Amino acid sequence: MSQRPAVLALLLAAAALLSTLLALGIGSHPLSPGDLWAAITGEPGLAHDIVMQVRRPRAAAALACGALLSLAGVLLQVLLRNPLADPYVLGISGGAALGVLLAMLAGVAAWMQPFTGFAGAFAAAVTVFALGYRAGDWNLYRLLLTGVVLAAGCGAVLSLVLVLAPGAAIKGMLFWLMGDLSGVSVSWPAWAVALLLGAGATALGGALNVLALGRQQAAVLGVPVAIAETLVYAAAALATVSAVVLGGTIGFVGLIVPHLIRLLGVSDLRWLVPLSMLAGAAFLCLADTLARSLFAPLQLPVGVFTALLGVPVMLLLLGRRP
Amino acid sequence: MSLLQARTLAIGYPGRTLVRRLDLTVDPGQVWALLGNNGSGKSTLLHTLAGLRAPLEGGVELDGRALPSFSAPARARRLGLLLQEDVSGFWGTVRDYVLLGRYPHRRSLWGWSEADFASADAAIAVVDLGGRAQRALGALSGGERQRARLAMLFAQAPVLLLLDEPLQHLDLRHQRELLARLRAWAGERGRAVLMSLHDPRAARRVCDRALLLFDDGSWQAGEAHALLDDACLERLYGCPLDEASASGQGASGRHV
Repeated sequence: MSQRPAVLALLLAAAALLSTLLALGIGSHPLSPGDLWAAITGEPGLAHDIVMQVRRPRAAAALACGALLSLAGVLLQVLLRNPLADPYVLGISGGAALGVLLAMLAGVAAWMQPFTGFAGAFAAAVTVFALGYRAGDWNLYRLLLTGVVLAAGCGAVLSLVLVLAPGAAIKGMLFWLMGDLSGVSVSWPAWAVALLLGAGATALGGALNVLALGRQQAAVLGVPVAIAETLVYAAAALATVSAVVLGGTIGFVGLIVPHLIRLLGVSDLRWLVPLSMLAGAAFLCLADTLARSLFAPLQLPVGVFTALLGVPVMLLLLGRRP
Repeated sequence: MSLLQARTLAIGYPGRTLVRRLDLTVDPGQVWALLGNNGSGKSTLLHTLAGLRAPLEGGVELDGRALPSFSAPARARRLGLLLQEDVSGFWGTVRDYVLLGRYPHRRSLWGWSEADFASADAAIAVVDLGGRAQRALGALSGGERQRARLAMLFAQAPVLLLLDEPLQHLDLRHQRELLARLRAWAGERGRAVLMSLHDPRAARRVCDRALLLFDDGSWQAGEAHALLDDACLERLYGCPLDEASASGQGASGRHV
């Protein structure tokens, strides 16, 4: 019983490694394990260039994105005490999407788009926080409703943008909205955010466990609730923004992965945080590899595959035990 | 020195005062009963005394120090509060749940010490949940969940226990065991208990002090045997007490 989280951690680390190797080896130029090893260890040639310059950045982005979305999901499920909370429930993704799509509509250079997306997401996060934290006291329902209303508003404007956009631009916009990792070249900021927030949230997992009991119970047990909730909100917002700016609004990961770990028997947040991040990284990396290779040369948005893979896994686990 | 002291305390919500100008001193060794009708301010008073909400007027002192001057963990080591919140949303086992009561005593950021495990297991045994320790909390019955919440409080090991309806959902045997346990608990090491109850007989059986909250915002505090007489209780509850309850020796325990 007590070793279960450690065993799961090993299994998930192995899964993450395997899905990374698959991401590096599979593609229009398939590599045998031997070729892949040679390419990774630095033998110059075509294989080396493909692996290191094309596939590696994309795999790195998928891993970071999956970890960040899972982390945001776990944190928001604790903060809102709502099992249906996901990284997008607070309207942050809507703000980011608006920032990016408006930039696309205006014809802004592609390298600028992450910055406009970040600006949009930041504006949304601050708006929701300011309205939810009125008068120095959290009201979780107000926070949740503000997020949902803001997301709906963003959704309406996004529809408008899609209608107004010229035909050629629409496909790119739809890909971004469904989640797409094809254009990513730089992912180290996302990695840094994931490692920092992940380490912090894991270290404070004991406090998160108490916070998850409810704010009054947490206060009785000596957690400074207002500070803790502000930190959790900020961390969740930062994780969501970092992921969304990298890969668009990839759905399903942040909602499902934490539940998947819980259904495997781990609900202690000291373990749930790191295990969810590992599982999310492995899961998104695998989904992205499938999305770009299954119907090659056609590339599908990864968001489609997170749902296609995640739904059956979840249903299986839900049906397994009462 | 008194454990808890409230001075000219007014509690309630903005625009609605529930209790006015309350003076209360809880000394070590005392077991207090807090009685009053629904909505008379029992829970609000307990939350205010525990520092969860600010009083409208006046202040609360713990160990002779103003309550707000305590850090959150330091307060949690001295004072525990049993809430009426539902806990069925918790994912883990009974033992996982009770262990969280050790949070204010934790020595490292991440793990529990052997002492934490020992006091959690002792607390689980005290509330008679030893056979359920590895069950999921959400799978327990209402009364068992109530005992799990009490176990968390015993694991927290405060000096002052504030209990909001500790007897709710408990069967008769566990009600009696809990009351006896609380009486004995308060007799040791300078501890005290203040609990809201709906059963004057239970209050008579174990409490030496009583605080009555009347619907008009007035209150009365003092020796339990003096306050818990028929006239006082009938004025408090606004209804006649039946004979079994009024005489304090009801045989069956069915009448309230």
